[in-house]
Amino acid sequence: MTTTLPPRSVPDERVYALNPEKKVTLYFLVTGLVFLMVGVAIGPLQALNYAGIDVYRSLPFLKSYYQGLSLHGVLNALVFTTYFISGLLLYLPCRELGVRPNLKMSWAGYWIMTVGVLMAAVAVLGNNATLLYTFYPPLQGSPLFYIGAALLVVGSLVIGAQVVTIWTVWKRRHPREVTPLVTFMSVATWLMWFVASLGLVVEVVFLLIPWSLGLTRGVDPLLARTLFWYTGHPIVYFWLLPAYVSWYGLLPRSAGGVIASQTMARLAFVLFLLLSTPVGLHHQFADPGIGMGWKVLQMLLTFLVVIPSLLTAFSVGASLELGARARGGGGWSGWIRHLPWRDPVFVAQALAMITFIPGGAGGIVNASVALDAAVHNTAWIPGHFHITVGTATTLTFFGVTFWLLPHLTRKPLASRRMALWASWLWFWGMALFAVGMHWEGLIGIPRRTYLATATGLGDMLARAHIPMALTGISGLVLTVAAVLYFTVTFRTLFGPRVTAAQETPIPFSDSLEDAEHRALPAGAATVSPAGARIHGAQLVLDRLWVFTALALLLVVIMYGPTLIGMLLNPHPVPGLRLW
Amino acid sequence: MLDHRTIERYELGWLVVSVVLVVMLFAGVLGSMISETVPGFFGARSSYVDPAHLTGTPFATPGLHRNADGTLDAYIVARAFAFQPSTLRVPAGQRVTLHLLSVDVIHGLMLEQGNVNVELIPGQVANLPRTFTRPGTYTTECNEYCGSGHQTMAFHLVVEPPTQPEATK
Ligand code: HEM
Ligand SMILES: [Cu+2]
Ligand SMILES: [Cu+2]
Repeated sequence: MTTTLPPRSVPDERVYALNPEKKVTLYFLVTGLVFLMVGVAIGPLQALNYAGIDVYRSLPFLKSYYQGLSLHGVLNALVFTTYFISGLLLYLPCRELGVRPNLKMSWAGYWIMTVGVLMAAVAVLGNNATLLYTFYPPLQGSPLFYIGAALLVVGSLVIGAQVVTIWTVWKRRHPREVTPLVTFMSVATWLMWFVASLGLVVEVVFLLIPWSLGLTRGVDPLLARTLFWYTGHPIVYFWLLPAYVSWYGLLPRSAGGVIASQTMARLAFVLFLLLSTPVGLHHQFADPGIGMGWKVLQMLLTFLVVIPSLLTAFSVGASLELGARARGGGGWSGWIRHLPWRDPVFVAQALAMITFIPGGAGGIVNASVALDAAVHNTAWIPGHFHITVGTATTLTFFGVTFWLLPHLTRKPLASRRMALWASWLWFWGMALFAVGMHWEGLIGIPRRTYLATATGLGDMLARAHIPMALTGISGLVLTVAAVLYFTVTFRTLFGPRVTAAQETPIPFSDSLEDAEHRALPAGAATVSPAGARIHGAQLVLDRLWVFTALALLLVVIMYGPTLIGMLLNPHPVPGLRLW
Repeated sequence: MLDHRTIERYELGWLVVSVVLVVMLFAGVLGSMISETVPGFFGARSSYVDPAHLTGTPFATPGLHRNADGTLDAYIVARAFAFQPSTLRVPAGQRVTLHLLSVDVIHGLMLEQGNVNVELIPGQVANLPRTFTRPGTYTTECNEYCGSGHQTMAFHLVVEPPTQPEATK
């Protein structure tokens, strides 16, 4: 199963010798980044299309705007994120607990995922799965695509199972101890993903694969959509929570501070575990055939997910303030200048967090039944998710690579300046992008549309000149940002090695509670009453299996009647290929 | 220097503020739904029509139907890559119930200014009562990806001033 490591003695000059899990982690990260590079390369073409500049007619390798958009959405939102998260949330808990994962299983996860992605890539590149990343039936793609998508998810579940196993073994050996914070957050994220991925797995394995192979005649499109969004909403938390892990557990150290409150961090993750999944109907407010009562209930639960995010904003803000004050900052806001603004690890993540403020606010708009009607399926929506997954998550991951790639490879970051420029340009590019797209959405410009040849825009077009130009310009800014980012990343990977003594450390952060506890005079009672209370609360929060069971129960209540109704009264329709 | 208990007290305060915010948000949205800012949330039933057999249903003759009691129903069929009718004329100020149906893949329609925004899922009929008040021509298009011709799937809504003779069908 898992093995506890011997205490580290002399540093070993062979990079992976002491921690062979470094290698599998590196593979996950770099493969994810390579797919992101391909996906991102198409983004600017789409942005130009918004500005009325049509490059698709002269592209030899893309048959249509929609084939490009399928690649862009699948590679960026589904493939890159899953690889990166699998690597990161495997590595951090292993190192925090000081255990080694089962390497065979970890590599199996990597290869299952990679075979899956290559299969799906063959389908999409051959224009046989131009379905966008939501692949709603009855549009029907090649079976390769659906099987590949399933393998991608299975690969991530293999890694998740690894981490949960490691944690369970650790818990058994340390029954009265509280799980260390980063491991706690990682395990909560994986357990949430187990609950959340059920919908997609059922949809793909039981409906789409048999249907695309010709074994069944039809699929009920409403049932498929409902299963898709059952996973499709919590998947956004699967993207976001790893960023939160870094903001809570690693960034304070990078900023010279400590974690302000471990208990609140744990509470936030438990709330995410409970509330992320039973809310997917808010993507189906516009669907006929689903009862209004359930939509409204799930809207309420969606709003409740705002609470842990607001807690995160508070705690992380407090940690950074503690860091800045420790570095000599003062005043109401003067401390902000004392944050490490020359360190790309910090800057990328700080900018990602700032971007998430309007991102979260826009999410509240989307989640409100009444307001959603004004923005559903308009350019507002891509505007929203480029500042959430496209920046809050992606730019945080960029910041993480600035220390993690040097840590794993023992090769120092090739250029700090270039990393800083890439981060700032990504931030400003996405800011422009978001302003343009949200604005177009309010005018009524639809999303997922080959706008350059659209015929139904009427007088909307005349009113959207300025925002559409903004989208085009932002595409150019983001191109520069992406080129700089990938340049610094690959220069690092192909750069020279340093000795083991100079290895970049993992910035696991200390917490205020622990620091105060250690500062107690030697003779003082080892645990103060307040300390005991906190310890007790953290032990309660540590019962993640109980919360997982509660999460499943909530799912059964919130989805049961709707899904049973659909299953009892199915309306299958045949597949079509319309591209 | 702040100790962790002070921070936790502030944070608990913030937690209370967050909960209050969320409750207000929910109440606000419910209020706007009950006051029918967006039509059709309550009372509009969805129904199912087999997309392979439209004969015998009103969708066999898409367009505006005036019923014996003077009420208006508009039947709209979405099919790759056109709406039938592609131009719908309705009188301003009169309640019209829109019935939208897709017969092949998923399409979508947003009527600008009308707060109508629906996914058209094959067979699932969207029934939306709506009164259009401002005369004019509104052009819009399918807003759910449906294939290579998606961007050409246009729809025109003409809201006619009440004095003009009303179009039937
Ligand atoms: C250079 C940076 C990028 C640019 C210029 C860009 C541009 C765009 C544009 C203009 C669209 C709208 C297409 C449409 O609705 O017609 C789009 C869609 C999308 N983008 Fe990006 N993007 C970039 C990076 C990213 C990143 C980093 C992610 C995620 C990690 C991402 C995820 C998506 C997704 C999921 C869609 C929606 C696809 C769909 O609706 O099917 N993009 N992008
Ligand atoms: Cu959602
Ligand atoms: Cu369409």
